[in-house]
Amino acid sequence: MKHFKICALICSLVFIVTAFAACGNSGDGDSSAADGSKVLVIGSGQSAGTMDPVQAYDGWYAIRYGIGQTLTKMNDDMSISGWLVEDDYSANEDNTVWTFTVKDGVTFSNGTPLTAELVKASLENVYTNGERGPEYFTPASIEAEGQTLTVTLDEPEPILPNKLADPLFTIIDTTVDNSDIAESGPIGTGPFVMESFDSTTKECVVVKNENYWGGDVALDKIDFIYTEDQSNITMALQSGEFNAVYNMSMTDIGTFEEDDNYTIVSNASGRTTIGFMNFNGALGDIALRQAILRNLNKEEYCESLLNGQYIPGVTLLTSAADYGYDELTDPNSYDPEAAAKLLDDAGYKDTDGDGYRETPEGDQIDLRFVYYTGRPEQQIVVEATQTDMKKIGIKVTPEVHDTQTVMDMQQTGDYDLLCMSINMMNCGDPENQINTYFCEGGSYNATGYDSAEFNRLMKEVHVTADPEQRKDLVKQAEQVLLEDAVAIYYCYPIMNFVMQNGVENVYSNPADFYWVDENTDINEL
Amino acid sequence: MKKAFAFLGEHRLFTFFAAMAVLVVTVAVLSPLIVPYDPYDAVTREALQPPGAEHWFGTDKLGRDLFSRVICASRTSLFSAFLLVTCVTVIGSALGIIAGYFGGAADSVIMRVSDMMISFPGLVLAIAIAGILGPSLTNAIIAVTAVSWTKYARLSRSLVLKIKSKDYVAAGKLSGSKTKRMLFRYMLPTSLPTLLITATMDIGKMMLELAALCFLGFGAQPPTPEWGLMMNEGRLYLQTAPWLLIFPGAAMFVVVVIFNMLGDSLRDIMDPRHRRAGRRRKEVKHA
Repeated sequence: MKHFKICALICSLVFIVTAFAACGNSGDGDSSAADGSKVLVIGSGQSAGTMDPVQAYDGWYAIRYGIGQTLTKMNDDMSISGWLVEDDYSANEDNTVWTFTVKDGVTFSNGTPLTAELVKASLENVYTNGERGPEYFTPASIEAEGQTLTVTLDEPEPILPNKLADPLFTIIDTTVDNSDIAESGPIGTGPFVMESFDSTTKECVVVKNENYWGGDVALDKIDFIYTEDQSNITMALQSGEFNAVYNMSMTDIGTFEEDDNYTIVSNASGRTTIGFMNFNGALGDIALRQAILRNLNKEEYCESLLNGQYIPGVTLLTSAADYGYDELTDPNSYDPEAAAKLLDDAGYKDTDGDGYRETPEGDQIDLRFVYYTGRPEQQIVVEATQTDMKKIGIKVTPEVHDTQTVMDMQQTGDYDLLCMSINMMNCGDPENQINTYFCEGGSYNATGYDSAEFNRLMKEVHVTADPEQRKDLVKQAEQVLLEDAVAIYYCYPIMNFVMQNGVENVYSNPADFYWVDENTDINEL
Repeated sequence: MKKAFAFLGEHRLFTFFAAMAVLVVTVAVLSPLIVPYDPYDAVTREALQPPGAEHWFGTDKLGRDLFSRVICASRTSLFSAFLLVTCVTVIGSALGIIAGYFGGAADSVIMRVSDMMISFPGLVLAIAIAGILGPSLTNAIIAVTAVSWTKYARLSRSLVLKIKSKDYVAAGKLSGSKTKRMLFRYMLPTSLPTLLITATMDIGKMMLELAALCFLGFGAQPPTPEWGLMMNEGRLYLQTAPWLLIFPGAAMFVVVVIFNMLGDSLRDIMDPRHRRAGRRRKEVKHA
């Protein structure tokens, strides 16, 4: 009996090993379909909620997927130049009237020529059907004559060209029926046309725009596949299921760096990984917020836990931009003893002996830390925070959701702590993002933070034209945020695209939304 | 005492696996005392160290000692599995005995509910229930209980139905025994051995189901050491730090095998049919 069972055990082990060995598959990339067309498959942990560019941050995907374009474009050095308009845009002296010349020969993918009138309609659509327009600027009037577009404003808008580079202002054809734009996508001017978007799996397929105004498009089709599972992303690239992958995790990028079969493009980005603190709750007390900030060893997180692929955060704005990373002083830099003392002094004590402190009023503290796994650093920093907070007796409970849900929760304020990676420099200037996330009335500011001093500084930034003066004001505003212990600035990611050799012109850049263009290509090696 | 030794000597396979099970339980009970490091203590500088002299099983992504976590996880995994099996056995058997003994409406209601539960794939339904209740180990136990009790209910019902028609049951009833006495004196003791064997054999299975829920994020939450959860955390490091997956997996494998084999050998001892078959084989061998 015993021998029989041991034999059976050995047999089953052998069977399992054999069965798994049979599962091995080193498939090749689907770089060309049976009919000889060129198809590229890109995997990413990021996806749109809808394909309507004026909703939330969904405009990013119209640009990322090569469907739409904006009037202006942010360059790699964070400067701005014309894209659908000529570079000769200009403003009057007080920056209240801007004039743009729409490029000749630009057409939408359906063949309709782009005129100033259609640009006007597209910009107005942002205000009629979207919510976030007023955070950028509010036009008093937009006038169109031939290819000339004139935007008149009630107050000075010195960086209007930067703002128009935001994907929110993606130019779409509003003359077509857009009632189903969320699913069927917009008609844009980009090198690709949307073929399908699955709102459940978030898979988006785009095909060559035969009418592209900028010349021939090299690829026939791009399939953007979404998965927040980092190991899926890695293994799909290794198996050849994906040809290129956005934002490879810090854990696995080393494997690809050592492999000659892959190319990596990376750059310091305008992104900051931020831990938002909701003032409507226990975190309304500045002592608790300061204690949390002082108890986080961000340098060690970046060096040991994130493999040195991230730069430790100090200021709201990344070290890659010149906004005071080396100048501003952080009153709550790492000092765990001071953190514990702050809590002791403020009356946070563990009265029921469960290892966690209660508020001075005797209420339990359990901070819900909401995050998503679509960005590889988040789970690590959130769990490291939980572990470190336990050391000073603050209970933190991580709560994972998909990216869209976390963005919705950020809007509604359904969190105590919330981890989000934000491209603060997405217009080559931080004004809009700061307004959106930190100013009173910002569409993603549900933290309850409302500082008169901070709001005043940002209002001044809004109307200041001189770049140096703007920078100086932003730095002052950043310092106010630091003093008020508003949020945790964990780190600044270095963004990357990892691709098989043979994939060409897939881009990683500070803007983070120009992924592909007409030159993007894939060749068999 | 002599008898006990004789019994153990006769059933060596059972003795071996019972001893292993006792060892596993002892390790689980004493885990906080025997581990070299605090399983929650993260030393970020030492994250993802490979197995070595200082950290036998290496360290995890936050720099916690994996050996200590694997050992302490035995407590979470084992005791939640025990609790789960107890819940399932008690609830399932009680409902089954009631259904079988009383028949009629009670039988119909209990059995139709049970039919409903088994018409879904067990784990999928458990995931749905755990998803609705929210992720925690307690809710995972509730979810698996909700889908697993039916097996015991059906088993105990059929056992009760079998003995209900026996003469001694009729005699008991005729002599005026109350329902409570009938249930606890006749029905329960007669069905108990089979139920216990099934329960022992289910420990391993339940442990795997709980681990599956934890792996999927519906059970234990970080930083709790739990094998399923640890394997999920390790999954992301499959290529760079495989020990994060190997050791919790191996621990689970060993413990599940021990409890499955224990259940198996217990069945050999307690189930007369298997006993007879075993004896026959022995006799043939001796002949």
